[in-house]
Amino acid sequence: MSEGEKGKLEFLSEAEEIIEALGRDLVLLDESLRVGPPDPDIVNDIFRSVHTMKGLAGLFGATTISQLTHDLEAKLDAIRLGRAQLTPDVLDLLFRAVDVTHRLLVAEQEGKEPPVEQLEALLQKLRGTKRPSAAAPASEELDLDPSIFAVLTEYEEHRLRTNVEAGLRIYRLRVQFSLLTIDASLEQLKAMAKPHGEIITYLPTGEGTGADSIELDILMASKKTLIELGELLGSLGGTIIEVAKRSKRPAASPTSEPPELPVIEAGTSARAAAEAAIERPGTRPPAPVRKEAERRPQRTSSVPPPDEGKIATVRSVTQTVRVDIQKLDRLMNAVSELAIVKSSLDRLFERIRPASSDRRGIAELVRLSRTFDRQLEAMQQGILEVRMVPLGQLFERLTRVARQVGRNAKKQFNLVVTGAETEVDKLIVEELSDPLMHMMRNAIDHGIEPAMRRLAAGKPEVGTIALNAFQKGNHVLIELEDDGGGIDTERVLEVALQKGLINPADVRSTSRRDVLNLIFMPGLSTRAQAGEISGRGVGMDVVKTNIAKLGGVIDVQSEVGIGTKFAITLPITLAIIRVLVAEVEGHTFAIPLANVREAVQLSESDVFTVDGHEAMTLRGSTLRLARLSSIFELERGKRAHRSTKKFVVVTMAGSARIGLIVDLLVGGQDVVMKALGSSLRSVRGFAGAADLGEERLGLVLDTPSLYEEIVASDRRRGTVARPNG
Amino acid sequence: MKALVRRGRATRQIERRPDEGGVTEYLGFRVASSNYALPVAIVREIVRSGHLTPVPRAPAGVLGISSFRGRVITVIDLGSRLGLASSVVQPTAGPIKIPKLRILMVDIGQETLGYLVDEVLQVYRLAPRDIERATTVGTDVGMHVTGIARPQEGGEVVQILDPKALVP
Repeated sequence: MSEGEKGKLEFLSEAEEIIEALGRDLVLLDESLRVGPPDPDIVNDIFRSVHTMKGLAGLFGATTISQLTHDLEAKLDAIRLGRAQLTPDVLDLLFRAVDVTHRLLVAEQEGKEPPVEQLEALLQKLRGTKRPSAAAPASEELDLDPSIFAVLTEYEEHRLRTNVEAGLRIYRLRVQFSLLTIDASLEQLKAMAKPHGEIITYLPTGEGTGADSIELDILMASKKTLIELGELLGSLGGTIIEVAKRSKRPAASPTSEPPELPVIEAGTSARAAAEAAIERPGTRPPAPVRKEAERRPQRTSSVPPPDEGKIATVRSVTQTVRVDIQKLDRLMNAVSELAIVKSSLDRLFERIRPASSDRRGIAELVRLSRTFDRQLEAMQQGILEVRMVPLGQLFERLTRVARQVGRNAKKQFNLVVTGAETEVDKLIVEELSDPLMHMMRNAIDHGIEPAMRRLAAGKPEVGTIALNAFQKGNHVLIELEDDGGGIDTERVLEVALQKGLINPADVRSTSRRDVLNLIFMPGLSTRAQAGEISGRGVGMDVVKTNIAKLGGVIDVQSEVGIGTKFAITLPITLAIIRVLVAEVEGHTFAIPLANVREAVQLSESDVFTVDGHEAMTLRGSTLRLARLSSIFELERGKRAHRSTKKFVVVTMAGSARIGLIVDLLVGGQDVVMKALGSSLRSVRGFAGAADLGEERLGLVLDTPSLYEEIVASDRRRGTVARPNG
Repeated sequence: MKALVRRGRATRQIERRPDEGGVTEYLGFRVASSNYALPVAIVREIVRSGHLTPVPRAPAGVLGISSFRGRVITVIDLGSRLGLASSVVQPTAGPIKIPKLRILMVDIGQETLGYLVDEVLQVYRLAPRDIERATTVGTDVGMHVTGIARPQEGGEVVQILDPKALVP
């Protein structure tokens, strides 16, 4: 790889990370906006991320991205400084900007032309919505040392004003910090202040400081009263002064007389402070606070110092390393190779062992060999763990998409997400992204009804979409459920008939479940017109195929008027799956145990024919049978198992089942499943291949796709078999 | 009983040397009694053929899949891909064992494919002037041949293959 390519990769991966963070922060901002004024910390984080992105893009020479981020930065700066309002429309614009940035990044990655039109439209909007703020400078409202005001930045002044407008009290803290611990102490202070206020700025006083300490003037806004704050910040030492609002007491103390204000020597008891306050009637704190201080003086005097440990964790920096998943694959392959070397060593050892008279040496070898095995296993496990990532990232992206789609479709719904912490293989998360996006769009576009229709149906006006993930044994279940209109099976059937996906003769015998499953057929869309939102090229058939490629299964349940629920069952890791190894005409196949319900012996006398295909009765119900030898057109092998005894492996495809007939069951095995090369992409029926030991590969069956194939061929045969009827 | 089965072991790693004065290195090999060559740069390794697992429904010419350095490699019968006699009489079932043939691991696009050949000959160092363009040669060469070279005076001809045409 050349330096340039490497640099590009690094840029892309870092930019991608920033976009992820931006998306997360915007969602948080959206939430915070619903309950009150926007959280300035989030706005700042977003501003900083965009700023970093701009720098990165500039460095890398991605001009479109740096142009967009430049304008976005200006917009965010205006919001941050209160020069622009953060309305839902502006928030939408921010969401869109992040989206377009992502697209630009993708274009950059693929060396394609950037989506210029979108970019231009966005830039225009970003530039067009500035509104100057006419707020009076905070210095006129507050009784504060003008020298401090002089050094406040525009942003700090804006925060100060915002806090005053929000009715928070403004305090000035003068605290000595040791130079050694100042960073930690400030973080601690911020953490303490955050729940009920905000630190606006801190400035060195330049007074009375020793060589190893520094005195800071800290300007802070808080909901707390002076006394409460004194209790909270007691451990810091120093003084706290409340800065009076001039507008509320126009004739009170002028700026030159700060001692008029109540002062708490932090570290002295709050009660003393309260008394001090009482001695100066007409000044702050106001009456209610005094009352409170009197009510529980004992408690306030024995406030424990803040828990140092707890606060220290706030600033604990996570130590992470970004690793290309391909590197992990290489590592995993190296470990597999090691395992192969190990088994060769074992065989060699077994050969030499009988001839050796060195019994102690043999014992030592056995011991070493066991240790080796254990370490190898630990290594394998370790690599697998590294590959695991929480679904949270993906879910956040989905949340963003849902928000956007919902707005465009003018649908109202709450998105309830649970289980974002559930971990799955990174590769699965990547592959799952498109199918889930599509399903989410469907749920909003086709699932949730317009508010009027919901009300008419006696449902709550605002719909609900639930996205749940949880682990179940060696599997992860992801459910997407909506309380929308449900899938109209009549309509599905009608379309399927129109498009010839189903034989008219079979309509009456087709179960409701089968009809629902028709939505996974290529070419079936029940919407007359593909909406701007859902018509993006991927249908449910692609969703199903993508999930099957991951060794997963998708199932659908739906009731008209009640809602639709999709359930995706996935293996936790692609790397290791448990399979049932079976032989057919000398070929060895592996069937993922996730798809196997049970395996039973078959006696040919139990087989009967229904509708031209083989079936048997298992536990009181009819089981459709299929011979793998005929599905794969395997010729009778010389080395094939000669016994007449065969076995039926009952496999699950969603909630449907089918019995695959095999010659021999070899047993269960944990295998590392690998994808077939792209030259075999057109070959259907296999999910991949796995090393079954002794360097023999076995093909892993894709049972859901086999099931579909069998059902489809039954339908076709039905057409042929019953020309008259 | 456990048979001791050896997987394809690298017979030798091919060193890649930069081109010298327009000279390109080609690896020569024999398929169905004709000589062919591919640029050394795209041949990763030459291995002895090991266990091959046949893949039902695979395109014609695909012998099966084999595990190579922990990866699943599609192995293609170069003879049948070129429309010549197959290097192997495919047994009706079970893993195919081909004891004497060689598999060339070739990077084609994003994928590494294994090509089964009858015999590996040698590395030829050829300058562009040594290679006759296929278009000027008669019609009896296939689409997959880009040129023809005669490395030794009066020796056998070597057909230079177009790697892109080899994908099944």
